[in-house]
Amino acid sequence: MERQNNIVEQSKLVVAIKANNSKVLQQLYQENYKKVEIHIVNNSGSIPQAQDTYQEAFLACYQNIKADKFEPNSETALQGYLFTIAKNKWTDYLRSSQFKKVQGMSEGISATMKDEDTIPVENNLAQLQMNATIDAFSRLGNECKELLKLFYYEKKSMKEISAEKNLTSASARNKKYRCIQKLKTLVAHPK
Amino acid sequence: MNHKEAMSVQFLEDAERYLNGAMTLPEKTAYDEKLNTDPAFRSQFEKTKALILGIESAVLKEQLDAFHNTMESETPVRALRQTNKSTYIWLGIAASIIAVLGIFLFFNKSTSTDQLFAAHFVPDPGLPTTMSTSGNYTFYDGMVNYKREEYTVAITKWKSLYTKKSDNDTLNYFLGMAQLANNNPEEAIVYLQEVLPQKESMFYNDVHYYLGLAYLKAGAVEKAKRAFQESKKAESNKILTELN
Repeated sequence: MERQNNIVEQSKLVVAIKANNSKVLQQLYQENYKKVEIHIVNNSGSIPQAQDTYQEAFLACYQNIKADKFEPNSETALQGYLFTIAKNKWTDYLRSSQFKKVQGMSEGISATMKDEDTIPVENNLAQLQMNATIDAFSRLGNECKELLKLFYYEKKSMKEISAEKNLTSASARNKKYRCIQKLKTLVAHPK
Repeated sequence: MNHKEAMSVQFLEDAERYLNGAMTLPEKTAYDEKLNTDPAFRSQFEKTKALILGIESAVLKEQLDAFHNTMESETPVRALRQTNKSTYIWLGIAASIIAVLGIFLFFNKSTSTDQLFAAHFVPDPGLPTTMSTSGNYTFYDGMVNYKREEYTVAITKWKSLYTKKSDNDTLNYFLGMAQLANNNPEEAIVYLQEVLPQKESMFYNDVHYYLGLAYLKAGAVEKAKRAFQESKKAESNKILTELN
């Protein structure tokens, strides 16, 4: 019964994440960081590397939830999922040529690291496209960033946004469309 | 806005309504049907969906550093240390050192103060590092070095803060700790003693213990005993027993 309740809790968590509930996202982030830091620091990493790897994993986890690639099936499923993604990302880094170049002696480490639960770290075209979009967004002007954030992330209606920004509804709609077009152009033209 | 643009706006807004679950049932059924039968339409929809997820991810990404930094400033560091697993790791290390010491004692009854120090001294694991608050940047920068056991570098960075903050308990405690880890017990004693008058300091309990170890390392056994007697840590009692 308790297990059932916990799975219900997990489903609620997933719904809240899909709705970009900032408080829930923040809590998920903060409650699971330390474990990842300990793992990475104990496996040849530094604290800044732990933070970077964790943030990458957190975003990947978020994107997989959004894309319905994650279904909770146990009471701590999501937390475990996040940890596994981070751990696999770190294992990939330790096996990478970049790490070996820095270390010059990492044989022992990479040979002893094994994937326990393999969640593939997506490195395909879709992921590259995603990274390009994230990068393009950071190059948008502030006005567009703000408008897209209010509409797509905070899920405010165009009516609320036009009131907030003192725009007519038609002009807010038009602006949003222009910003999307601008974003698409930036995605197609990486820095 | 020309016809083509108007079509494009319409497509975008339909896709948004579909994704937000804002369509009526007949609308949704028709939309699903089109997705299933028109590959070009589906491909355009998938691109739009990915673009929107990209926007959401970008906004979330910009918030992650803030999540990270509030975690460290809102959580009482001491509480965090007590509950996090690294404490257990340190305890594990301490336990194995004690075990090794036990075996050693079994074969060699005479232990010098230096050996006692070596067997018991495990530097404080340090504080979580945050790089956000500019005021404390140098301190946390030094903390990164401290955790990497680059004690000399940490000491240099922290000393630069010392003129302004010579009564800060955290600074004194970690300067003392780094000096002790760097085999400078006399220097360590000077800094650790600065923490003693600050009874409300979160380092107060630990400082007697480390001061005891610093005296032990410096060969001042009686002073070490007095410091261990003041300390409430179980470790202190063990060392006292061994000293007597």
